[in-house]
Amino acid sequence: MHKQRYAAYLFVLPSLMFLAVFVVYPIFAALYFSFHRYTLIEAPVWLGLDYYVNLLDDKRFMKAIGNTFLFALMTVPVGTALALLLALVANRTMRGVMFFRAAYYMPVVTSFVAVSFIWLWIYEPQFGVLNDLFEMLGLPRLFWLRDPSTALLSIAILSIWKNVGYNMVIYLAGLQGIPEHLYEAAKIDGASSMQRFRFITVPLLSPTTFFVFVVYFIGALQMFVQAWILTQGGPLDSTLTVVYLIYSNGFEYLKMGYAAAMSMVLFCIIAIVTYVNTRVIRYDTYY
Amino acid sequence: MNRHVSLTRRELLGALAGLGGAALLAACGTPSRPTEVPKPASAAKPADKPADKPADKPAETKPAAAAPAASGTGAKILLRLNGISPPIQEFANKWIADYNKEKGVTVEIDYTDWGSSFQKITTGIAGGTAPDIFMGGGLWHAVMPARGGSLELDGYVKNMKDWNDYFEVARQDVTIQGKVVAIPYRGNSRGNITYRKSLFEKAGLDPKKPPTTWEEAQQYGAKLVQKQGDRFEVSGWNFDPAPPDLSQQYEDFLFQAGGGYFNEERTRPTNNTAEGEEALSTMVSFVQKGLVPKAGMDSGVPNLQAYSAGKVAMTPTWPGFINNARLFAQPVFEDTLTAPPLKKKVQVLQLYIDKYFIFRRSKVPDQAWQLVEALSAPEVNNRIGIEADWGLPVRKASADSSPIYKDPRMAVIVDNMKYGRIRQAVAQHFDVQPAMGREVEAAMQGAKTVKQALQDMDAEVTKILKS
Repeated sequence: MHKQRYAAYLFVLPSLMFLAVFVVYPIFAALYFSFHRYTLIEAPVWLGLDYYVNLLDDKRFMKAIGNTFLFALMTVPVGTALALLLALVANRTMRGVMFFRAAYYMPVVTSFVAVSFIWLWIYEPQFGVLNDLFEMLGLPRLFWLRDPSTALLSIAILSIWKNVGYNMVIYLAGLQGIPEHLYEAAKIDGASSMQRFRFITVPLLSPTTFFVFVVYFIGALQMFVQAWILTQGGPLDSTLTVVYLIYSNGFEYLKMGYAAAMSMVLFCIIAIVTYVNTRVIRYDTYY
Repeated sequence: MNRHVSLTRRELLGALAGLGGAALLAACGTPSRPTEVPKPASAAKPADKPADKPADKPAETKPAAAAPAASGTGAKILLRLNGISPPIQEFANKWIADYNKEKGVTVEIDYTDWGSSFQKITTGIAGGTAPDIFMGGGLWHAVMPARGGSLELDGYVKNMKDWNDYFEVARQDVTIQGKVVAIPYRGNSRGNITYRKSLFEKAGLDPKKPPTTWEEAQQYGAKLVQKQGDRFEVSGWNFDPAPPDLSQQYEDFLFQAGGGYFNEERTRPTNNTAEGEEALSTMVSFVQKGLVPKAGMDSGVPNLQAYSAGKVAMTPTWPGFINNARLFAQPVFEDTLTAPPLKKKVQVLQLYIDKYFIFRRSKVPDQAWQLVEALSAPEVNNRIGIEADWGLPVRKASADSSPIYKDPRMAVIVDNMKYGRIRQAVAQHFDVQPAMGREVEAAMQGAKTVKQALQDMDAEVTKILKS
């Protein structure tokens, strides 16, 4: 018996080692460097809490936090609701539903870099198809990614479109786990489709919603690729996110210690937000 | 009897915590000390006057002992080339294969893009795995010595027969505190006035008389702009809206106003001055007078430049933009003319010099130097370094031999090098440039007044220099 256990531990040992080296060690290394001035090339110099104090005074960091939360608030509720709606449609037995499911999942498997370049074209103020469509509908042409008031929204739209397929698939699995007899019983009792959705589907989907919401929110707080490709954090830092700032400070300005301090702060923020989310949503989660 | 051994959840968590503790101890251990880094070099004294044309007399060199003869002996050399297109890669691969056979060395080429090159190099330097030879951009000569990345080349350069063939401005650019830290291979400048002949004629302007002053540029621009309501069909001027590019464009205006962004010693920013105000106000006025939208006409889509797309009538720009038109919009290219930079108090434009560095900790510095010399030969450098992107020559032999300089547009741009002034680069310039650009952007977008933007610019740059 214990030979089998040792064999089991031996099997998980490579994964544990991988986790230790590539996940656990970097986290503690980042914590260590956050208390030092470290430029990769020179030896670290102890600074104590200086960087954490400086962060309180760093207007760009505060702006980045604001933008990050705004982005999460723009994308997560809308993206979650849209994913549920698409899952409800995809859950029907009708001709072409497989194509529909595949079509909405395609953006998920496409590289974010490739997708970003395509959307650069779509959002192009002079030639972009979106502005041409707006003009056809009699709406004013917008500068999209070039205007501080619309740049973050433009990235949010792209992100929702990119991620909706993934969450749709998760909701689809959740929907297919709801027993059919509940709907039949409700129909017999005279419940309308809205009532069946509200009193059966939504409560029984709550574990799925909980998962989607929390994971989506954590992902949204780490937005980087879209800002990097599309706007470089501009215009006027309107799309500057915390992860973008961490990358700039770490790899462009070689302020590794400062970047590490920012990453620790982000880690704490995500942990707090996730805890709050789990407490709030879990309250309504039915199992 | 079998002994029942079980691992409880507590024990497993304890084991994981132990792993984490071990990792923490490893992280808290004294990191291996990197090779001692020389003190950050203060920048070379800037050229106070525009650069001369190619040096007519050789620079003075002390007689030096011959450099140790470098032999191949199977040395392995890693060469990193940035931003090289596939056709030029083909040429480079073939040339390197021949070089390897001739010299008995093994040169491996690593191609990368400019965007990620700096991060790759600095992490390579930190890990001791940087390539033996790497390309660097316009600011790298100030940054690399401070980061311990580049080998000083004076010993090699003293024996380099072609060194005097390099233009003085190029030699100055790569000389930090009297020491040569790199070998130039390509120049660039973005202050060359580039305009459309047919649009000039349509606006009633004489294409043979391009603008020479700021005021003329705005007068011409006002006539050239074509709008449909709020939409710019064709702009009368253009700005590249990304902060680092805005900073560079501002720097050209600042030099033309007779100012500079640093003092002579490059210890203090000098943007919040009458010259800075004049320069930035003029940039803002191009937008306020409706000659160009505040976001510029370019959208950031690769290879879709607004000038090539026929959306810009006149703009200061890189020679690479003209090449872009040649490649993708032949009618625009045929219609393009170029002119000298504008003048306010001084007729000047900034020169950007790209260069080859040898890694300070290269195990084969002599062989690397031999390769750099070979790469710098005009017949090779013209193909790899210049022609793909329409860069500028950094030596007379390239200016005389490369076919692209026979193009009349490029001939004017090469002649413009006489107005060239090297950048006032500092070791922290990768931080300084975007910081300056953000303030220029704020003024252009109307988020700050010019005065406030310049005050904040100097405050931010001072903070960076002190950090």
